Amino acid sequence: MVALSSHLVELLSNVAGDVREVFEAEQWSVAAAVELNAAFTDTNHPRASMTRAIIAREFLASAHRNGLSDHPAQGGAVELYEQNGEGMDMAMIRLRGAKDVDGDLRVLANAGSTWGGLSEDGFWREIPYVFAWYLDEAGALQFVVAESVGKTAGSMPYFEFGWMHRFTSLAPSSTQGFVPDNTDSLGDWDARHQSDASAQA
Amino acid sequence: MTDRTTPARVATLGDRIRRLRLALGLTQNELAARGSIAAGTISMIENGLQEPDASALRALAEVLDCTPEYLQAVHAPAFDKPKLRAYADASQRAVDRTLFDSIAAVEAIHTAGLRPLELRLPVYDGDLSDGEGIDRIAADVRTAAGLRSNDVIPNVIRAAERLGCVVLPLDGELGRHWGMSLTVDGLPVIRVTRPSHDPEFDIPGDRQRFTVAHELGHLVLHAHLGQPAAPAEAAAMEREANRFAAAFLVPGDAALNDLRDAGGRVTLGTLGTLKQKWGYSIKAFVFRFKELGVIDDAQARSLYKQISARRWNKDEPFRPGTENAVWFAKALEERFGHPRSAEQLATTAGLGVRYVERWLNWEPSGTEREIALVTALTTRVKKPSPSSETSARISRLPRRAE
Repeated sequence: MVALSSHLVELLSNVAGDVREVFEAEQWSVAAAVELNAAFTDTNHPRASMTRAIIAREFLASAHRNGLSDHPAQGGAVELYEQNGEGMDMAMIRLRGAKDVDGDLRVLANAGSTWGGLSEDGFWREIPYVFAWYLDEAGALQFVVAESVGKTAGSMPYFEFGWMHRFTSLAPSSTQGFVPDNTDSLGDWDARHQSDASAQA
Repeated sequence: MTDRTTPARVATLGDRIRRLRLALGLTQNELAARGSIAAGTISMIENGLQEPDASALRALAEVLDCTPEYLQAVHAPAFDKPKLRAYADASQRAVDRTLFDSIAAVEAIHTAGLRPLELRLPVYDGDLSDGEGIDRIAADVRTAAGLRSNDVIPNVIRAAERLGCVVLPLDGELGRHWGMSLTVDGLPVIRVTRPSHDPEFDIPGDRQRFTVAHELGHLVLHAHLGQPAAPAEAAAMEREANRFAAAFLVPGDAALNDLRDAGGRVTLGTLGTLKQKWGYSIKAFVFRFKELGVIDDAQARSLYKQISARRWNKDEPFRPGTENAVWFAKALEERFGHPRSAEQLATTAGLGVRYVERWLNWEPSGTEREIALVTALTTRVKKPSPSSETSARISRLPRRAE
């Protein structure tokens, strides 16, 4: 089990925050687009594909802003390629859609999935991870980064994960609501009230 | 009948009895039963067709919690009906109760000679078809309330009071309506729900602020109009009051500047931050940014769906605190020497003290619910069957011959 360095986790946390924000602001366009033609709602593919496009674009843009490098991957997959810590490990972090089944992260493994090994020049050990996104029950975008260590048996194999880190939604800096100012005055009325009171004194 | 009465005086007496009965939420039958008077007589009295004799007048005054002199006063306050979509969402009885209770409050204020607030509330009677026009009116009202153009309003009820409005609490009896406004003898009155210990009737601070601003909108924009005649007219008035409330609470330029400073994207996170600053609900901000042309219908729908999925329709995060009015208590203190001089005011006005206490009480209504104790129940042990009972026996039926 190989964990990502805390530095990489922090950068990925920034990426997760950026993608979440853009998705919240832009997801309306998916709903608007699928309404353009009834055929777009015959299956969930158009919706899923457009959702993925929004996420993938911001994932890469934010990764670059955070100084992370991407790496050409098979079949148009979006993958980051970064040194993990101070050692000789390279992390291949692939963006994937996932499902959360009762807290169990499910990501389909396929023919294009990478399993790591040595780099082409033989200097680096390449370790595969997924940067997985899924929509929770409230429709909010959630992210997990997990080390891919294998796959389940069967005709629809899922990844088996080793080390894993969930990026929870960023908590607001404060949960405090607006506090009205109960000392706010009545203006002139108060001024006269006070002057009358002091005159009586 | 007394020989000094005139038809006009009898009519005024009947009207005052009717108004106080409605302020207490009583039907004619209920008043008749409590006063041991025939229901038909109550109807005759209220319609000015019969004057009650001295004993009936005393009985009515007792039930209505006032002095006979209060009922015999000659003053008939002038008032306009509230611009509620009303009567569809709240019962006529509930609306009338608040309406006539408010009228009784203003009359008591005048009778006691409380020093009034200076009336600064502008009244607009031009064309309201232009939304930006309403924004400009809201800006003028902010100035009249002593607020700077782009500042957060520290206390909306206090701002309404500075404009000359009497703001009185409401107990949530108006159903879906959190507030109501009307003008009595030229004095603008706003009723707004006070908080409650009962979550069903409690009002979040952002809702209370919006309600006060919405009612200010009615007073400013619709004072010259009668009650809406048709649902479409009522809906238009509601939209105008909402637009006014939005512009009064969150001026457009300030909203756009804050959004830009927060990164420019309209997300629930950004709106949550704006809510913390402005005391204006996230859902209302979605509407506001749609109004300002920052987002379109599809974006607004998407945000509403996100709000709904998070179950924020019922309970948004960053709940602001609630506000209360202060003028009434201060004016009482000035007049009678004590801020809770309910009894002195009641005596002067000829009303029972419970009326006045209702107008002054901004404390949360209802009683705090105690946390229920959970008692572990012991498992019931099944008693052995009495010997007389026998277990059912299943007999195999004989096979039917083919």
